[in-house]
Amino acid sequence: MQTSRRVLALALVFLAAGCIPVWTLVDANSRIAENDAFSVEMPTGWMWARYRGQRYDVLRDGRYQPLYVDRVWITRDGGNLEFIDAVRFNYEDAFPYIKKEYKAGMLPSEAAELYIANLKNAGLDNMTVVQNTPKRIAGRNGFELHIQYKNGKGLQFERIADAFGDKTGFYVVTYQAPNLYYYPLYRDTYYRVVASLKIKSGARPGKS
Amino acid sequence: MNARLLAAAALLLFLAACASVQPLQSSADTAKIDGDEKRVWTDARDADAVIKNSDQIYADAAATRYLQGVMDRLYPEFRGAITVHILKATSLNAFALPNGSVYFHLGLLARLDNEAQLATVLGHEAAHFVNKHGYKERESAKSMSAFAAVVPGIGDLIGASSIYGYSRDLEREADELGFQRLVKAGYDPREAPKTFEILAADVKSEGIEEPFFFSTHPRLIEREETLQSMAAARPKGGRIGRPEFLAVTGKLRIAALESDLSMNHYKGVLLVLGDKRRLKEYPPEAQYYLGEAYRQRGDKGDEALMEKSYLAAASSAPRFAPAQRALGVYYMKKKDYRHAQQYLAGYLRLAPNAPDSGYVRQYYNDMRKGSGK
Repeated sequence: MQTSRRVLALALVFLAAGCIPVWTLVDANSRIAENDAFSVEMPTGWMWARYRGQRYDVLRDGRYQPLYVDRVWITRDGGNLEFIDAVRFNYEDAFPYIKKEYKAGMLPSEAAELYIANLKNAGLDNMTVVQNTPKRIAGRNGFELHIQYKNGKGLQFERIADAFGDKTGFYVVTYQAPNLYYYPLYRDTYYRVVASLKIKSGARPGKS
Repeated sequence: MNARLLAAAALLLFLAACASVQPLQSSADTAKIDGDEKRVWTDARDADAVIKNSDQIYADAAATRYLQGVMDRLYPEFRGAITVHILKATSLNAFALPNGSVYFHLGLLARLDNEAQLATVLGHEAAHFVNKHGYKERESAKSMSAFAAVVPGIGDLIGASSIYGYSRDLEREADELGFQRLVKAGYDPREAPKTFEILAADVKSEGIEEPFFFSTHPRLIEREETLQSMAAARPKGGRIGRPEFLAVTGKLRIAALESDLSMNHYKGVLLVLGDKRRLKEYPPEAQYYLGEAYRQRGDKGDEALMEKSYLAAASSAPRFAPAQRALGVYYMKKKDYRHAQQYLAGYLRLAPNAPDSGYVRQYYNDMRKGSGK
């Protein structure tokens, strides 16, 4: 009895924290995912994870701290095989692992530098930057970053991130897949998702 | 059972586990390992594979050979059983796995000043292997049901203590054996406490409590004082090996600066390059890295220091492209487009295919078009 109560309490805590995603199959009638900040067009046949509360936990100073973001996370075969993740961070939370924020007027190359430092501090310190170029995304000046890293079994992962900042926050769309088989398979799908990204005209800066 | 009784029971179990483990005498002993110890070795080998597979080894054959040579000088009877690797990691750490693999972090190596200090760290880490500390602590932890894995990927294989430091007694034991080996190998014992002094400065600048190498037990100050008194009891003199160390680690120390800055860890860079004596140990382009550290810190007055450092790098190392880019971007943000274009053009001339040349080309073309953005 005591144990069941504990399990129930734990489940409630997780639910309240928004940690458990609700999976939805994307079909012809549900291709547009939108939130208060942006919308993207998702590929049919993929699964969309709706996170209640849009909580994003970051390990800082030895403990997990929550950030609240607007997010659309999709996968076709499971997150270990491929995923596309579109996130709007509040600009003060843009680079949480290095405790730096996105500032208005920041050059795309400067934002890319902070984005890379943030990734490395988040645990990808063995990554290699393959390409780092300026790019127009959703009508804004941003950057596209292509990185590679290997996991403990030597499997190489590829990750592309298209990102930009504006007065409403810092936006990042990411595609990740193992180099073996999956990465080339859905790269074009990813670029279609990026091309479909629209920032809502009424988007306001989020609250921390 | 009250807390005092529990602590006493835990201590007894720990001592019992330690007492039954005999130190290794030479490489030949490693062939006799079996039972639970064999399993610890297998786990350590798996950890080696994870580290290698995930591309975390810093590949510099000459530097790795040099470190291995120092280790073999310290522990000649373990030649072939202890293998030294350099890890790309920027943190101030070194650790030994129970199978004799010793990992030296790039960040720690770059902070040291000479071979005797390097030998101090290697002597200490190898002592953990020779005295089987990984196995001892794992056994005692198992007895106390407190064996926690905290390092993703390898922590569950080898136990956190191998990486994050052992108990107070085992760290002291490793300090003592490491010091004996340092002296026996002919190194100047006065360099041993200096190793701690250099690292303590880094700890202070980073605002961290204590880096992994020191562990939390015994305290840093206590260990420094112990080594000072041990060194004072020895005759002065011995090998320091500064020129050799600086020659072999030159490229590696630049790599550590780049790695630190790529992670926005500017404090360590300021600590090293802000010291005029140490700055002289680096090639002229090091002024650029100092400028980058000032830019990343961004405190009041840093902009002027940054510009001065960039200009010094561009003047003393005119073929070093990053200084040209840094000045170009700086002047562009200051709306000094004439100088900005001059330096950005210089960058593109020197590094036309650099990974970030797309940005520089765009900034340059925007200024040429007169938009100034």
